[in-house]
Amino acid sequence: MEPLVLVEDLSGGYSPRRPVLHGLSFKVMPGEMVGLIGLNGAGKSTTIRHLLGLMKPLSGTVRLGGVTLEEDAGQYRRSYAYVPETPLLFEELTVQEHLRLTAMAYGLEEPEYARRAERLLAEFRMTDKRSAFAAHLSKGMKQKVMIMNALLAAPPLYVIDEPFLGLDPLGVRSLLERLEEEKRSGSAILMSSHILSTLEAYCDRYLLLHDGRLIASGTLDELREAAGMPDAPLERLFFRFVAPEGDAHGA
Amino acid sequence: MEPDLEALYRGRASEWRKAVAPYARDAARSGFPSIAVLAALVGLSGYAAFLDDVPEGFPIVAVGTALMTPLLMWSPLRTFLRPADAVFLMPREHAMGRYMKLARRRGYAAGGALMLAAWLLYMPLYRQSGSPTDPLALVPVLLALKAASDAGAWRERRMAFAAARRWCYLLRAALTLAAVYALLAKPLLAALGFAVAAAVLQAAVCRLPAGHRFPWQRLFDEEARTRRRYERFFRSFADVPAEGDAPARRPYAAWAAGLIRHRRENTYLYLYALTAARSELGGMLIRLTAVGALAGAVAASSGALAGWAGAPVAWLFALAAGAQAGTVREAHRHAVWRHLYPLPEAERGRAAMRVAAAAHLVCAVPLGLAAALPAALAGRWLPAAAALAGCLALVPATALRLRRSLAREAAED
Repeated sequence: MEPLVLVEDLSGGYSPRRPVLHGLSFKVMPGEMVGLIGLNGAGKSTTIRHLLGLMKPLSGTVRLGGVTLEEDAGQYRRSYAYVPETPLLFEELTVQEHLRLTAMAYGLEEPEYARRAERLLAEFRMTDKRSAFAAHLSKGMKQKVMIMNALLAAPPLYVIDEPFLGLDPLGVRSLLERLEEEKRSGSAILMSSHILSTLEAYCDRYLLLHDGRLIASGTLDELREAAGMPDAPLERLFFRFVAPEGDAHGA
Repeated sequence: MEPDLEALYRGRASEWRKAVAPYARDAARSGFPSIAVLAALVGLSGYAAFLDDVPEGFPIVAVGTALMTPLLMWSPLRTFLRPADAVFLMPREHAMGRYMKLARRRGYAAGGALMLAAWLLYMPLYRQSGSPTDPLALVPVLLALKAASDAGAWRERRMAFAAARRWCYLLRAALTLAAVYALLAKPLLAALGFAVAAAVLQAAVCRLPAGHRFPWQRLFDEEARTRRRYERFFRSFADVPAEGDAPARRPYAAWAAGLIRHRRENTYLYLYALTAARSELGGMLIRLTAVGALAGAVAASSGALAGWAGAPVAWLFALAAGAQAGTVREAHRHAVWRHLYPLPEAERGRAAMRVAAAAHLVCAVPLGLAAALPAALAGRWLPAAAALAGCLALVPATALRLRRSLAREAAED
């Protein structure tokens, strides 16, 4: 099976003289949910920007769905949906119009769009906000619109950056349930978050970034083995990897 | 160290003046002041002629009431407050009275000056009404009424609920109207008694609804609206960096986007259609068309230049509408969505051109008709046809020009 994300020896950053990422290599397979974790400034967002093609690698390659951005920009863009940490919406469009715009962009047929949009609006409790302008929504509601846009497109890959910020508990539950469903249907999910307990409950594998380097990766058991901490929760493993001497729990 | 709030207010006012000075200079250089002065002089000369021969039974008091009531009601307030003040000034709410005193004094001075200017203009007409009161004697009364109205407006700003605010506003409007009518039509003492009673009633009733001690959010919103209004005005003359206009719903224009077929290649068409309808561009086109249609109709009705006066006015406004509509291509040119969503990039330019041409046509038709109809009704068929045909011909001509600009921009991108 071909990986949906294939990153090979990626170095990148805002200036060639000061790279932020140093030789990252990883892959994400279909039907897999992968947690991207690290401290602030570890390089998570920079990694995501490289995946999205918003930043050009200084060296190395990024393949989504088997192609690089240069090889086939259309296929590359259609292979993923992105939920950014800060919602990016058009102020003059309503919630429903954002969904329709997304459906058109991804080439979704109108009846299928209508069916999926209704389901998403109900699931995320946004039905009565369908005619509201993005400018008039709360931060959490804006985030819901971004999530609904992503789920509406049903792409092979979801790239999700800090999705829980501002979401109410019901929104978090709806999102996680839908991501589980998408995973079962074969989509891959790469999710960055600081809520380690949630990631531990839902992710199959983890990529642990520190100072722009991938210092650990694998399943929870693999991380435990690497850290020599059997049965440790993800949070303690995280502390052990990023600040071994400062691991407050001292295992 | 606690900052001096009066100095803070003065500093902010001065910064604002410095920030808008370059745009004010652009506006002054644009010829706008000359047109405004010319229009004022024409208006004054017409008014002077009217004063020489006021028709019998002309409703002088009703006109005065209609003129003075909105000016008494209008209560401008520049606070220069921004949302960040919720962090930095809110802890000093107890001392904000000093800050607001300057804002309210300044608002009263601006509103009062405009009201007095209107009163001075109205006085010669009022003298012909046979009213029992000397118009000069009413000046201090009007100033006091203005102060009471401003106090009422401040009380409304403090109200916590919109419904209460609306009811108090309506009550203030009704009582102001009645008080002004009484002052203009009745003996001064009786009218004064009524005005005082009205002010007391207003103050007593509007004290009842729940209110904020200091209406931070309302003042933030009001200040943002005022800034946007200045921005819109100056943008007619110069390239003013936008702080983000709130979209307008405009269902009468946005419905057209719903007619666009649900196909991937129409994604940008859908987006631009909604942007043109709801953004400031749509508002600008509506205003331009309304002013142009009025100017064209007046020029055509005058019969000047053998009936040809309306056509060039209509063409000029149609040309301006086309240029404005073409700016839709600037919208979302640098939007991040272009990099995150599979938008059909090859269609972007064509979509912008189609939306611009459609918007231009929607403006050109009423502009052409407004200049053509008065000429046609006067039996001047050639200028009428030329006015309409010229406006319509500008649509494809402008679209062709836009296509060349888009091709050039695409090459630059």
